[in-house]
Amino acid sequence: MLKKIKEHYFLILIFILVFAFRLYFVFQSNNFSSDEAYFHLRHVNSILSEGKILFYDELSYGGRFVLYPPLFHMLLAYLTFGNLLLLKILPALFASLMVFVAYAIAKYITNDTKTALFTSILASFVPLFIIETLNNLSPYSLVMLILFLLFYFLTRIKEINYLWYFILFILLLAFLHAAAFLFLLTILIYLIILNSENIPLEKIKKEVILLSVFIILLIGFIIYKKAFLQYGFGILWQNIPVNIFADEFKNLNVLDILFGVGLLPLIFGLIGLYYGFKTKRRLVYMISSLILVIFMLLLFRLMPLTVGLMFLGVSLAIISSLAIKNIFDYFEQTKLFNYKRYFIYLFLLLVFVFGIIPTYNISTKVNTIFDQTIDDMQWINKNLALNATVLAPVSEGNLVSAIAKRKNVADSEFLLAPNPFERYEDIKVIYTVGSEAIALNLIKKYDINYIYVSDNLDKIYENHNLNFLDDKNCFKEIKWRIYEVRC
Amino acid sequence: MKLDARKNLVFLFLLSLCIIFLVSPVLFRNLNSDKYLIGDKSYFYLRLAGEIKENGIIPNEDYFSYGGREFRDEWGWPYLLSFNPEFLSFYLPIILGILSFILFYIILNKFDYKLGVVSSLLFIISPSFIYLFSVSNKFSVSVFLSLLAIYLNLNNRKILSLLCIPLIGFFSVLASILMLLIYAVYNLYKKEHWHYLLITLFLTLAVIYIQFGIISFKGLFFIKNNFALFLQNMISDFGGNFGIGIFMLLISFIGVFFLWKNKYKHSFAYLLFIILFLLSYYFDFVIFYLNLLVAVLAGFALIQLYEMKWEEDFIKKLVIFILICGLLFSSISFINRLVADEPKKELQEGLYYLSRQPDDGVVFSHYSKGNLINYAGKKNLMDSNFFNAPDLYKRNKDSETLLHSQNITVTFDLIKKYNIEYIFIDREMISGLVWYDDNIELLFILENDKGFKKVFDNDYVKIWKVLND
Repeated sequence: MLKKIKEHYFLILIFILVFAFRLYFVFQSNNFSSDEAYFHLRHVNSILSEGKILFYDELSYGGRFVLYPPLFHMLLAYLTFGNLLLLKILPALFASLMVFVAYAIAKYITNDTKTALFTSILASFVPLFIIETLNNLSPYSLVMLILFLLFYFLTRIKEINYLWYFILFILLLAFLHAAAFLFLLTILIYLIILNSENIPLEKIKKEVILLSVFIILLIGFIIYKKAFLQYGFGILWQNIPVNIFADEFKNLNVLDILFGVGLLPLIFGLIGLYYGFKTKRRLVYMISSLILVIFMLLLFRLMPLTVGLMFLGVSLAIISSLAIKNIFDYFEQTKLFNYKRYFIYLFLLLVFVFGIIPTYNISTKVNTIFDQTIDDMQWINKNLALNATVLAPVSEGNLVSAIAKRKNVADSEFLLAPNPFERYEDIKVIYTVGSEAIALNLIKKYDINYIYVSDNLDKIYENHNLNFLDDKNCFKEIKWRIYEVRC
Repeated sequence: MKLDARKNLVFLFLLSLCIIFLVSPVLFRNLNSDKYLIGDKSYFYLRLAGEIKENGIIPNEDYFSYGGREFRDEWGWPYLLSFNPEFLSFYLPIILGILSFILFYIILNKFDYKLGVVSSLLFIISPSFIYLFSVSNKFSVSVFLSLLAIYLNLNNRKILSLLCIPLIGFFSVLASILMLLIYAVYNLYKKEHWHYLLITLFLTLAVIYIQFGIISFKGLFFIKNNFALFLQNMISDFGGNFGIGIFMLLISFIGVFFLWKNKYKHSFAYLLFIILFLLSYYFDFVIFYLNLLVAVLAGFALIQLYEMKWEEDFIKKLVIFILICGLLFSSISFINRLVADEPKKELQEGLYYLSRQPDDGVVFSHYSKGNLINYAGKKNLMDSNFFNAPDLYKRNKDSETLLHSQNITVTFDLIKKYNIEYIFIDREMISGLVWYDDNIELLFILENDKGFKKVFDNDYVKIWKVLND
């Protein structure tokens, strides 16, 4: 009993540590870390102000249909009521809850508390999971949690409570994110592995798997109907312009894996995979299936590298539990058994040095949107005509629609966006061409009223050239960095 | 007695549902003020039917298609429509749909009543069925006659059954060849005599000869397929014009899984499934036939799912509920697409304008608009009737060059070569069919060169006249 209390005490301590780690970065800035967060913010605000989900965004791309599963925005809207502080804390809380999920799975696999606690630390400090979800309104903070919970529930489905949890969470995942299809693929590979290993699957599991497949397909097809009809199988590439595609759907390389997954989860995870297949544990097979799916999707460039590595990292971190357990078991069989306590401290130090510190270093380098940029957007919101179109780089397009509440030319939500490649190129031309004639032609094409000269222009377009703004007859600087088009 | 009454009631319900699903695309289009036939090919048959009605014979030449060409198509469908082209183009497919449903229902009832009911229900709500029997097309008769052949065969009317196959050749030569192939496989499977089949083969070849003379396969494989495009065409939810619903396809795979419990007992069904699946890669119309088999397999799967013992009964109910929702979702979303399909009122306005122009020259557009241009009484550069089309590849290359031209000299050379007098552009072409922008390539030249005059613009359709001076 005492041991159990101690175990829970440690687990809560780890949760507090992880949550505090995330909050530390959250409170470093008043803004979010990415432009994408403002896409979600716009949807949250729309639900709160209009009382309905935003299906047609009049500001994005000057007006376009938006396809996004509504649950994440609804949850954030009704749990935070648009309060910025809560909007920053809630995703951090979701992501930190991964501590408990990783612990539960590791405990189930290894039946060892110590190992499970170490695993929960490793899984919570996977570098790319932290980068993607730190100070960001990212649905992945919740998706990751639900996905692994589903694996856990499926393993324990014979207990009636878990059956209900499974059905509830499968519905949540389907309404939350397209990653629900990842669950489908994982289950498919899982069934193939079980079949090839001649491991029978319980009837109830077959039934819930069938149910989950059809739930995800039905909800997925309802949500993405328009996109499926428009792109067919091309939906996998989300209508992303070619040049951005090359950046996001990069080829796999060892350095990226090492950086994204982290040294310890990678080494221990691979060892854990070996032990997992040796011991034929179903939950391990399930997580291994996820790893295999991710690996294949990354190999065939069907998934953005950062997203894939994030899932890969957390999966490997959880599978690490088998390696950690074996290391502890082995140590207990050696003559150094009496120094077990010191070995645990040493292991903790190892996790701290190779797990937490590198992740902390990376986290300090995560950019946030500048205060000045937000101020500019708020100024635009207060001072410019309501129907104005404001030109900003694609990577700041969501700021224009969410904070300035004005039409943008393009933003980073490409699915169903009209001519994203052409717009992306045209925006680049305006910011880099220098020629007034060419720029004016494009400005006229998109009916642009104002040009925003972002502070990030140096990073976005190394060779940016806006010499044409010197023509005072055509362009007037109405505020530092904001130019009005007058001809 | 009571059971019979219940069966009749079920049949009446299915029949009503069949009528509702077939009539709704036409009805909703009417409500949207789009009182026009769906698709461009319907207008090809409508025009031919009109000509046959006027002259009393099948024309030897098509003066409008490809700027004028020999008429090379099956006679049956335009001839049937010629009795009342406008009315029959709308309603003959629906009538054939109802008759096909009845045949399908009766055929399956011979094997199993439940299978008959469930599969017929799935057949009725399948996107492929809805397209086949609500859009004017020659395959509606082919499928109906194929079902009739199966029905007659099951009733030991072998000769009559086999006579249906050459008859199908009057509507679709390829469909009759497909049916011959299926019969041959069936013969092999059942180890039956071949003499009937040989006679049928002879008759089918005769039907082909009567219509086409010495057959040439020129243009048959003009549209190059790839696997992604094939799957997209195959599944209506991925944008296929008349594909199978994703849920129905998945359920049919479950059906195959259940059948596999009896291993090789149903090898004919597996073989047929594989043959149809492979052939549908090359020939779109095979999907209509595959849909028949998929409906049966899916029906079988649904019955098995319902009757098998589940660990948790509520999961069974949930699964079946979701499947029904999924199947209905595919159908309703497909009907929705048909309702919104081309041609729309604005397009018809453009065509009406063209039809009133006295000029005899060619109207240039994307080939998918070719049949509509012909219907307006104007010649096209090319259309979607690729089979035996003259200079098909050359015309296609020139057409692409012209659409994407950035050179005025090249543009005018091609215009002169094909005697083009009008250029017809609609919104679909600017929204991705040809371009994603309305001010590039040929569009830029049309807007900025003095050799063209915009003579019609209703926001949806723009027509330019080529100025000869």
